[in-house]
Amino acid sequence: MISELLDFSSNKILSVDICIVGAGAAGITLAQKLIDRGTDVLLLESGGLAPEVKTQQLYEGEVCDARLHSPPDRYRQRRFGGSTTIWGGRCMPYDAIDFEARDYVPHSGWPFGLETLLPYYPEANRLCEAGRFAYRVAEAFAKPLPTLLAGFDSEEFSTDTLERFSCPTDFGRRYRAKLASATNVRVLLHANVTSIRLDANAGRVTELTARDLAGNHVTVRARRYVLAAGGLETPRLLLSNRDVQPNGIGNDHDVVGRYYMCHIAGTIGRIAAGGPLSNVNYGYDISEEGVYCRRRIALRAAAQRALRLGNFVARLHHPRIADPAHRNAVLSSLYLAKFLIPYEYGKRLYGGEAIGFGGWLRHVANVAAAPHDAAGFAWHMLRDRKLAQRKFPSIIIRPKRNLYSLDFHAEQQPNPSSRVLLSERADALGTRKLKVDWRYTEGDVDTVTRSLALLAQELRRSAAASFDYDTDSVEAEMTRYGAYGGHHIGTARLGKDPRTSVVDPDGLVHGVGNLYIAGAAVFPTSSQANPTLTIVAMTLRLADHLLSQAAGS
Amino acid sequence: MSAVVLVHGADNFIGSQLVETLRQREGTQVHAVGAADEAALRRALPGARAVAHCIIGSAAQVERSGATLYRLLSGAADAPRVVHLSSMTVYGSATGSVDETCAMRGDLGPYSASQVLAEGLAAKYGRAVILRSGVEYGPGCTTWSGRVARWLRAHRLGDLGEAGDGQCNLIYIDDLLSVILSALREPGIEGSVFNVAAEDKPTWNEYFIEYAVALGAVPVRRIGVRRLSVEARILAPVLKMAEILSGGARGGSPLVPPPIPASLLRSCRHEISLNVTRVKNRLAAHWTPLAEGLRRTAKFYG
Repeated sequence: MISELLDFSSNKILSVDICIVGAGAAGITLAQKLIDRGTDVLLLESGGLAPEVKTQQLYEGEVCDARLHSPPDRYRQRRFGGSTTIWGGRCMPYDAIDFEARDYVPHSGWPFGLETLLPYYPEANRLCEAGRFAYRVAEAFAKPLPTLLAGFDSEEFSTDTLERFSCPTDFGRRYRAKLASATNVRVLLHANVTSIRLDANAGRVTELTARDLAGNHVTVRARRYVLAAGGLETPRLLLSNRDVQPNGIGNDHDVVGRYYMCHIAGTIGRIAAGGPLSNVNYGYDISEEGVYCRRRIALRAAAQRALRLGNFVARLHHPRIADPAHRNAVLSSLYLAKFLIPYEYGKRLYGGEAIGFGGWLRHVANVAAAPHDAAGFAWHMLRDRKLAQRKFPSIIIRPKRNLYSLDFHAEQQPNPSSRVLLSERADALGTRKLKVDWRYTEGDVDTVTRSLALLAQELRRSAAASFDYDTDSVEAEMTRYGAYGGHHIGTARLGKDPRTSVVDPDGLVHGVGNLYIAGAAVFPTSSQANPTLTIVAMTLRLADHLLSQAAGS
Repeated sequence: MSAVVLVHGADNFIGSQLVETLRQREGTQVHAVGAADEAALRRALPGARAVAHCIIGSAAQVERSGATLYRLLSGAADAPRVVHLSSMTVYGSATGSVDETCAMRGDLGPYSASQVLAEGLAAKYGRAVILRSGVEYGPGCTTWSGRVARWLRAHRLGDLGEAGDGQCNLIYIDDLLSVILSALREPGIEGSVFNVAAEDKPTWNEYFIEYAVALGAVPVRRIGVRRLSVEARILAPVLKMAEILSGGARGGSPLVPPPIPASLLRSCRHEISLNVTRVKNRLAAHWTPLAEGLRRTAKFYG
């Protein structure tokens, strides 16, 4: 059932078996998995069913360097469904190498391997509505696909792995009816957790307080608590509760909020492929189940080990939109329509580049030169994205010549100096705001720099294409838009050693016997993969753990 | 099974399949009687050692045929066993895991209520074995395979999102026939009721997607709630009218696309799961894997 905090008289005490904080990808997955499983579940959500300005403002905070990180209230949504209400839907699992302790990636290594998560990925794929768990071309498609890039065959890079796209599924809208009809799950809207109380020994959480913006509050007492509030809000909650543990909950060793990772991403250079246009097929293929899939150029695990590089993938991409020199009517029409594009998508499309009135006129001229191209594209976006239930995932431009740029997406290394902490200012409910100090390392620059060089070399060697880019601009390009938005990873990392991690391999906060954390906050490394699918898989694993614990007790 | 078996409803699909199976596979002597043929039923009953009552059709047909059979049987000297094919619709709007002890709500419209009524007569008769069948699919199953194939090919059905999350209590036609045979033969089960559906239950979405892939009706289309609403509220009445005018009121018309009834869309959301422990243990039911069942079905409708 779904209720409002207001429905309960103030000072009401709610007693349940499991209290989940946050109704996003993790919280909704967990609550669903617990339906009809013999436990009373309370799912606390700060927001309502629709976006609300005042609630979203509770996410506001500071960033140490605005060039490197977007404001904390961007790329995440404080409402039922969480940030799945705005995500792009890109799904792929972590690679086996991502779980390994690699001596060339400091602080890397998970306490378990990919095989531990593999049983959960198919269901995660289903919940994300990304079709079958098949991430190689041969597994996903009955017939061979035309080559991604004719003639490109490399021992260093593969081209047969896929990313699959969710609708993108808004978990709130998609699974609302299931939660509403569940008799053992109550969703409480407008319930902001403002305090987490520990017993005197800091060994257990005794209760939570949740408040709405009108001043109503309830107390929640549960056997077990799960923080599923996202990679930024979870450390905020841990750090801001200091009445028993002076450094914050689970933070005896100053690990909470550290190791903050996003991804290192950017667009660079000029790839020129020879031969006819059919030599390059860089867009989307639709699987039999109707799911958009896209191939990528992925640095193989053996090459990562041999060259001591982080994980790295790349895709062929259209030229930079803001620069009218591309003379492409579709890209120019996108530039001219940029006021229609949400901030989260527009940032990497336009990059905040000022082009002046002259540049704007050149975009108009590009559109005027081929208005039918622009109109055709507008129709495609209206039909296949705006009106479609399963949305065309991104902008794919069929070029007049085989000229592209390269879009890359790389692992960011865990780095204790990259962190989130509390600012001195408080939000409307009195909780201290976040301050984000995201940093990258020389190792991150090295992963991108040498991966790009290796790709250029392999393209040249195979005579598939030439790849020209300014080798001196790599660091500038990988930070042009700052940290990749929306991927908030590692701030309450998982591990066996309490000195270097926040939660144990089951997701239980070290030393606090009934407080679990779900979501990308617990990931010790960032992989090349977007995190949502793995968030859902890890949450399914947590659900199994919670159920087995309940059965045991 | 050398005794004479009367198949009541032999002019229906399941009845006709049962007649064929009894005759060819089992070597049984069969009296095949149409659902509405009271005279033939009256003639054949005295010689029957068992009756398979397989009535599919309208609510009126279910009620009428059931009433006729049990009226003719009342007071019979040597009352035969009746295997009474019923439907999971007797549970009506019940949700969750449903076993044979759950109340029969019969609240999903006239068909659902008629099955409850017919079961009531069977229970009163005392020597009936009641089989509550799930969703029959397979070669020749027009309702859940033939029509669905047309909808999938036309991309009018596919991945329904939240509208297709309900459990689909599929039963492959051969498996259902095997259960009916067991129910005819197994001693000491008069008065028993069995749910009949495969143990592993896909969602309706999974059924539609896997069936569409087997049919080659790909890529499967994602269909939104609004589009489904238009199908059920606007298109369905129009198509039904066209179907009647073209002379194909029951079983559809090849000239008119089959309407997607609101009841089907309601079923696709319905979270009900037939508990089949009893049929598995007592009648040794076994299940054709979904992929294999769909492969054969798609071949038939391909």
